[in-house]
Amino acid sequence: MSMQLTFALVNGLTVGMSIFLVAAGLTLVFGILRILNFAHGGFFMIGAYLTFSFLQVLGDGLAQFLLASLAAGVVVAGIGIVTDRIVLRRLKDLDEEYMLIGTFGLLMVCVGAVKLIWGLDYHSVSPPSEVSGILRFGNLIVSKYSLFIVAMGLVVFFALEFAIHRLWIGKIVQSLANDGWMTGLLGLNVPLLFTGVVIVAFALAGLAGGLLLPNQSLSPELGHAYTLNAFIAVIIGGLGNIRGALFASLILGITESMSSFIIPGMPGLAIYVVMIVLLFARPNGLFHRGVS
Amino acid sequence: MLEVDNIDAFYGDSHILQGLSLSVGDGERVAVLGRNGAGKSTLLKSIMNADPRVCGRIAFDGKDLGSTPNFVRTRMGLCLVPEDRRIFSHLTVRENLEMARYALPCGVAPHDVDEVIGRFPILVPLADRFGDQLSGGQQQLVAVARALMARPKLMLLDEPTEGLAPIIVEELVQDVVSACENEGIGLLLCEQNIWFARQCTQQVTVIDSGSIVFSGDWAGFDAHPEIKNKYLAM
Ligand SMILES: Nc1ncnc2c1ncn2[C@@H]1O[C@H](COP(=O)(O)OP(=O)(O)OP(=O)(O)O)[C@@H](O)[C@H]1O
Ligand SMILES: [Mg+2]
Repeated sequence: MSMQLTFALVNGLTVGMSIFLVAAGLTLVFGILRILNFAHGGFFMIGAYLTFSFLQVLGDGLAQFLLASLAAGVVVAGIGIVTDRIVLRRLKDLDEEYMLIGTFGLLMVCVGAVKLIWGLDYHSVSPPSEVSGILRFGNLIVSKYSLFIVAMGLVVFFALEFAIHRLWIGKIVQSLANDGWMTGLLGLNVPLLFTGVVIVAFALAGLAGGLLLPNQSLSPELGHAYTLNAFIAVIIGGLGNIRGALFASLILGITESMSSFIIPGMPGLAIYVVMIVLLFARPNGLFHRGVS
Repeated sequence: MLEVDNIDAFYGDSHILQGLSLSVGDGERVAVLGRNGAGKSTLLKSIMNADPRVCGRIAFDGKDLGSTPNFVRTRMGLCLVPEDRRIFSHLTVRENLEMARYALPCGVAPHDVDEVIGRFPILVPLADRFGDQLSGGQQQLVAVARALMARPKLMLLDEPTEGLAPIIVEELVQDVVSACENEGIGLLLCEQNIWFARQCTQQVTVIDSGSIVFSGDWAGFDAHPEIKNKYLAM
């Protein structure tokens, strides 16, 4: 029993980190551009497909896998520049309805593009051999790939934390989030900084698509699957808050995993209960206050 | 240096500034007076292209500004201290001042941050405090110090004396005038405090409902007491 609980906990941690990897870019774009980007999951999916294609050329191996995921991040970042020019920049100062409709349309475009380029077939990819298989800790069995995902989630989290709180560019980005008007009046090129934020967020989406590719079926529906949980994490964590997104993602992952262990008959229900309870308790999110 | 030629400014459908013209020469210091809602802040924001929609011609250093974005105007040497100060709460006083280095016109060397803080004795012990741990008056001084860090050619100050104690207002006159004189900074100062405006500037313009109702030097202003009674009395 307790072993099963521990197993559910470890599994929940992995699910939570997967959610965080998607939520990180989402919360960044919201915190700074105030755009809730419905298409984020679509770009995440493009990252997964790109990684799939790169791996067919590169072959097996952890280094190849990391390289393919990073390359997917770079390509998706490039798509981000174009998307920013054509879509996001125009949506920025409009009402929320337009942003939702606009980014939802963008998601459709992503799904359509994936269907055109990669077709409708399902694909699957196994983890690179170095991180496939299991580890035993006494009676506890943990897949190596789970640990890899948790580690990658932590790397992304600490990299963002470091950039935002320790580097000068982070102080600039926080200025942009807190008061973009004054930031411009102090001579900072605000449109360029916005583009920079979009590039980072899209790179994160593409990278997450690559890292989370193994062990799931790659299909044009992949974008939807992660988007919803990532949105819930961003909302519970406090819009724009990286730390909040991490905590909320972990809470969601553990809730989901525990509930499928305790009440296996109702998958997914517990997540909504947790979301509703947390939003009643902390309507502004677990942590709030701009980007932090 | 700054030429504002027959501009109209709008917020949505409200027509705020109506055919307003004004100019500030190199190193010249001009006060803009007017009661609440007269359009003083709108004028400064229009010059910076920061919010109002503006029609008409604004030129700086001989260049037509057209739709030049605000950050470029700042880098050309225009620096606005807004009436609501806008000190960054996540940055310390020192970091707030350092942020102004992006406003430096091309090729101009930055001031030493501590030297500028030192010009405002009240700020010296506060240098490492965060922006949200300052009183309103302290924030006001940080905003002026930050503008001095930007080393502008023309500084646009929006009611810098609001909320300051009389003794601090007197010190601020010294700070503003000596910075302007030593560095050749021009000044466009919006004020309700006539005493402060008079100490800081040579020229004065009075606006009411978005139009200019008087323009001249302080002697001219004093020669027409009806201006003050009609447009500035509360
Ligand atoms: N963002 C805005 N949207 C709509 N109208 C505005 C806005 N800001 C100012 N106004 C209007 O424009 C007019 C001029 O305002 P402005 O702020 O320029 O006055 P002011 O002279 O600076 O006044 P004060 O001395 O109170 O600061 C006012 O009637 C005000 O109601
Ligand atoms: Mg005003």
